[in-house]
Amino acid sequence: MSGGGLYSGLRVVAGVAVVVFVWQAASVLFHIPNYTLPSPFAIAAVMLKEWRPLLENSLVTLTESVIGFGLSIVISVPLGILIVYSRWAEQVIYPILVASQAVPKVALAPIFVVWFGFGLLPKVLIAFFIAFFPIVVNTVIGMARTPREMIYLMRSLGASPVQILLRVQLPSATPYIFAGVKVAAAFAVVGAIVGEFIAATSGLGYMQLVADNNFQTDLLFGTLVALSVMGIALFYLVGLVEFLVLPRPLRQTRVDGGSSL
Amino acid sequence: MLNKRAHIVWAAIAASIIVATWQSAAADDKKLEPLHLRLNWQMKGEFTPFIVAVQQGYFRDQGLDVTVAEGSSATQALQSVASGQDDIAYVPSVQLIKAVNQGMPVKAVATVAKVDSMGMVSTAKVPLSSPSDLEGRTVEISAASTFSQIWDAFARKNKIDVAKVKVVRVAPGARFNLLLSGKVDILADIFITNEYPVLESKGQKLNTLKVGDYGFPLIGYTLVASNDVIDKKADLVKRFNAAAAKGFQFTIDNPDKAAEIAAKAYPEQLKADITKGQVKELVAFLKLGEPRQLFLGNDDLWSKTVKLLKDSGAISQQKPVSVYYTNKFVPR
Amino acid sequence: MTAARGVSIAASKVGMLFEHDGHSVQALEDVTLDIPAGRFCSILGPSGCGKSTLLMLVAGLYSPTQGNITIDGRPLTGCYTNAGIVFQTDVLLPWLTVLDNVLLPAAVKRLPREPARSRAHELLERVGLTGFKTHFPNELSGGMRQRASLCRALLHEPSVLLMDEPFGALDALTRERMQTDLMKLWAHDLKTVMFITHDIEEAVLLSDEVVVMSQRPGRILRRLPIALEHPRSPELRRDQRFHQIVDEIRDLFQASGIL
Repeated sequence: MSGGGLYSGLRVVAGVAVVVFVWQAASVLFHIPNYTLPSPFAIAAVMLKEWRPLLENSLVTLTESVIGFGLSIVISVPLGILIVYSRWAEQVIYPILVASQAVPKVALAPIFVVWFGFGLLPKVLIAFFIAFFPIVVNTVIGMARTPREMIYLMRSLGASPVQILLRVQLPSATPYIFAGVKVAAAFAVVGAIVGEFIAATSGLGYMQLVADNNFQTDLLFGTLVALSVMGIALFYLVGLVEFLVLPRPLRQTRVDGGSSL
Repeated sequence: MLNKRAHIVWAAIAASIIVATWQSAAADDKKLEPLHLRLNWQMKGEFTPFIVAVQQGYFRDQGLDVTVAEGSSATQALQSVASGQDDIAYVPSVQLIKAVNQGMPVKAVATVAKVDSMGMVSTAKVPLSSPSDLEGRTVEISAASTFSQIWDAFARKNKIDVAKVKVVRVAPGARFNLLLSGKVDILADIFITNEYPVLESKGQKLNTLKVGDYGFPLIGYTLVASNDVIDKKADLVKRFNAAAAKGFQFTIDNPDKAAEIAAKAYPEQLKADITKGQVKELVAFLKLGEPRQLFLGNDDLWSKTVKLLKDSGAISQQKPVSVYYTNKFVPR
Repeated sequence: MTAARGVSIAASKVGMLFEHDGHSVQALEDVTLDIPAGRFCSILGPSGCGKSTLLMLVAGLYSPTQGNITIDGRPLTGCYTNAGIVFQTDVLLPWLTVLDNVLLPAAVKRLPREPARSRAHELLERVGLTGFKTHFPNELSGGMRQRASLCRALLHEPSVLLMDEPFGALDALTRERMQTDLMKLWAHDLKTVMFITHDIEEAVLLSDEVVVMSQRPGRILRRLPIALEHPRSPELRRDQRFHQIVDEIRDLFQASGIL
């Protein structure tokens, strides 16, 4: 990462600090009641007080999200490759996948609970269900963008289809795949929460329901803060993996997703 | 061709504008004051008395144009009243007491159900004659339910060994399927006046248990207004209560007819047979508890409920009862 | 390293008809050609005359709709995998270093590593890219990238070198430099070369024979042996005989309406 990374990081922190300051000032000046919009100080206070349940529940939601997310990567990339290589898969499976996204996960969640019980599995599955699609789509698009001459080159060297896939198509698709994976990370967290809303005894989604039922609006916001932190952390974790795994020309060096290719 | 069609369309639009203006002009003759009632749930049979009051013109007779709005939760309804978006909310007492404790400037203006209809239900093959029947069973208690607030205290009072009870927490919409498919044995967070008749209508034989019978007689539904409305629109609240009480009385005296009126007004949400069952249970519960008079509460009743909640750990403060309710608007 | 002379290429009555969206385009018509082993042959013609198509047919990446291609006396079915190809764009893999790009044929064909590496170093040195072995393609100029792809094309000692307007995207000075480099490389490693170009001087400068093609549908107008001595050198550009041959071809183009 360039030296500009530190500078832009500081700018983000400064931006957040300004928002928090304005919010706190507004809360005090306009006497905004705690049950409508808690002040940042109130939220921070309750988060400190309840740090332990927050941490424990965060770990639960994190586990559900990460497993669902991991599953989505493992299944989606091969599925994307299959769709590129198989006419049948492209014409039969791809439309089914697209249609599946129109199904509201909130409606699916109760059905998953009936089929898979009350434990980790239904949340993992819903997280998977939402997260897999951007990865499949980006894998397909990324592989289709392989320059034609590269494929000609490989064929003229006598490369087998597997060699073409591994040496040229997948590498040139990786910027797209990683972009899809970043989106999927955020989606997986949402999916885990949706699952928890339907049936859970732990996790940040469950904590939200209880806080809401108890009129503890500051704690409710505390869980939202924890969720945001989790989402951001996962996003940057994927970015870190990308940085470590990919050679420099393939990395997304700009926020707009552009790479140096 | 296009021209002709366009002319017809414009004529229709003009006609509807004329009719609408004429009708609103006719309505303006009455000059009714608008009032927003926020329910704590989607339309259900339990809300029949309000529907009756609208349909039979009781609100109109009091000079009120009442909008009965469905809601999604007691929390939402109370926040809506506190912020001034709605005038009156219809919520269970437990949530009202919690809201007041959190500093929300709201108060009950009518104590409708002196006894809450909280209950449990199981399918025929799961016995449910006493609280100890929960032991060794999978029991569903939704995280957002009223009963979940007092579950620990309920278990303690009735000597249930919680280690022997497998509690699962499920969103309300998913509960019925889980019970009927046998994935859970007992639903412990239902209301006899609401979920029970729905389940009954599915043809299954069911066992029930009333939470109120086992040491937890809490106040049920209340009508709630913000302190602001109580101070500045006292007359409005009084007239609302008078009309609403008439609706309740009609329902108590003619339960089946009331159910029909409600089902006719909301044909999609309310099925006639289920609504009749819910109204029947509602009337039975309305006849329970003291004081007998409609909408009237008293200090003894309220302090008992608040104390129960405090002892069970559902709330941490016990404020003077005058903060929670008032009889000022109860029709004589 | 003994210079392999390469193999012969022959096209017999080759035609290529492309069908796309209901339109059909006859890119090549009745092309008969033979390039003996070890010869440097340029295919010279205007844009769209099908010369690139001819190269793709010889490489086996396309299949002719009429006629057939023969390589080393054997009819060609499918890809010819012992060719080195240089396209107009360098087609270097952006995620590999220059060295790894040059080694690509060895990786795909699973050739022994050490000999391949030393050959790669040798080729890169010959084109002056030794200092850039560990750089990525996006750090190199166009001319440097094309030099690297030339090395890649030669790594596996192909019997045929196919070049499709390889210097077309470069500026004039770089182009001259590349032509000089190519002359030197080829002098060292005499192979059969099929070189596609639209530049008359380039064709005459580099080749043993220039095949002049017409506009679409591409047919062979003339085959011109170039009687200039080997090894070629940049000095030839000042030679009277060089200019004579160039003018002869220019006249031919003018006569056929291409110029």
